Amino acid sequence: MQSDVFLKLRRSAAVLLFAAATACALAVADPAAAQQSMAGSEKIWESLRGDVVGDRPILVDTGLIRIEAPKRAQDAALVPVDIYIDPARAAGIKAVTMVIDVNPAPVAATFQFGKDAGVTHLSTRVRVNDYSFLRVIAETESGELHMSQTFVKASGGCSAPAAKNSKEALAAMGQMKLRQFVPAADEVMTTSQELQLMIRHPNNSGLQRDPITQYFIPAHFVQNLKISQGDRLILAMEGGISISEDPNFRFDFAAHGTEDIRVEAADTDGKVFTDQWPFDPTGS
Amino acid sequence: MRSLALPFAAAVLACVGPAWAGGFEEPLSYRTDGYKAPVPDTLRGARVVDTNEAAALWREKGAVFIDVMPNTPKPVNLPAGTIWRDKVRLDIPGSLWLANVGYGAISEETADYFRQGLESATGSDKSLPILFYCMTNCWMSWNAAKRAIEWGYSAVIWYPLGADGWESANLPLAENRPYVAD
Repeated sequence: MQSDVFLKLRRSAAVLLFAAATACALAVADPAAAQQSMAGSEKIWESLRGDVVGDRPILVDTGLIRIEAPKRAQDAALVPVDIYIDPARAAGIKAVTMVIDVNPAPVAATFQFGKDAGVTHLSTRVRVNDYSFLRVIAETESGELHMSQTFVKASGGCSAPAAKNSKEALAAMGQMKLRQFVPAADEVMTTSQELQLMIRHPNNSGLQRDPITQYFIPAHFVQNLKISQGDRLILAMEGGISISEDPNFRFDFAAHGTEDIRVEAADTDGKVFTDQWPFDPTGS
Repeated sequence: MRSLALPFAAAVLACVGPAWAGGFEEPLSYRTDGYKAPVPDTLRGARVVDTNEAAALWREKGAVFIDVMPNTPKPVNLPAGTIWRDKVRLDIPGSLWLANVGYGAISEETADYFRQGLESATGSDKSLPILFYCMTNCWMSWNAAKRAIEWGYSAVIWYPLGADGWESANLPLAENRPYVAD
């Protein structure tokens, strides 16, 4: 008899524990909250799109361009973003604009590609201030707009303190490093190469506070970037406050001949940084 | 029955985790980083209120409401033509929004802004009840309320649940702009 009561008690306890665990799971993953943020981001975008592209119609998810980013960012100041372009239609793209709805300066960057540059994949790292859609809008030569979007859960990216101290960052500012990757075995017969450009620059957003003085650090970032092979443009960027500290771009391109890879970067203080490297079709 | 209540309570506690305000001692000094984190139950020298008490004060106009949500002003040196959107802040109607006064350390300029804002809200009467808030699990309001106490305000109230706690009780919010000092 005694053991029966004990069993009953244990069963009720298990039910209670289960109920508590369920309540807990519901509280943690609140779908309504996420929905609201998506709707909020969408609402901001609606108020913004006129300033970004005017009232022209936008085609969504046509496959011409695609954006990928982690659903939940580990570091809101360094959110990796991948942009993929349909190789068959890459040549017809005039410009690609990347927008982060909730960032105070929502246009993160605008990219232009050389006519025959064949860029079909570009990845970089951005600051994300709050739960937001990240969007890319490709404008074609014929004036069409194609958009792809992805929702990222991150917050505080724009005001996150720099990873490096300012003295160290200023001393190395403008230094560049280029990595050239060997084309994969099955791609050896093609002319597609992959490059990664790293530029040392604090890329201050203007929203970061100096931990010593408690004042906001002025905005100071790479505003214009041009990457070419010889005189042929591969890609150009007009950047904003959302590109992460130490800007980093990895992209593929169709090599033409063996001329040097040249980079020119200008920041918002009017400083110009240049560098160049011998083109290495075997990777280095 | 006690044997049942214990595991249940333990499970609830374990799950609530970060949303559980308190259960730990308040620090002696200001919080200087990781502002979005669980806050203590108490603030020495202040009265801590829940949403019902805050709503009663609001209806009776029993306190001056000060929102201390941080805000980032537009950097002055952005390239011409940069599209800029100030974040829309919804807070408790009638609040004075004193932005950035809840950091653990503030510049002399921000301290002056905070002092002036408080004086304008209270008519320089330091015995007038003032209620500080920002968001749930945000140390900015704890810091700001502590600062006001140190400056001699004698009826400081802290509402730790902030604007989102207010909203989740179906109380109204209104769009606000940061106070601009004269």
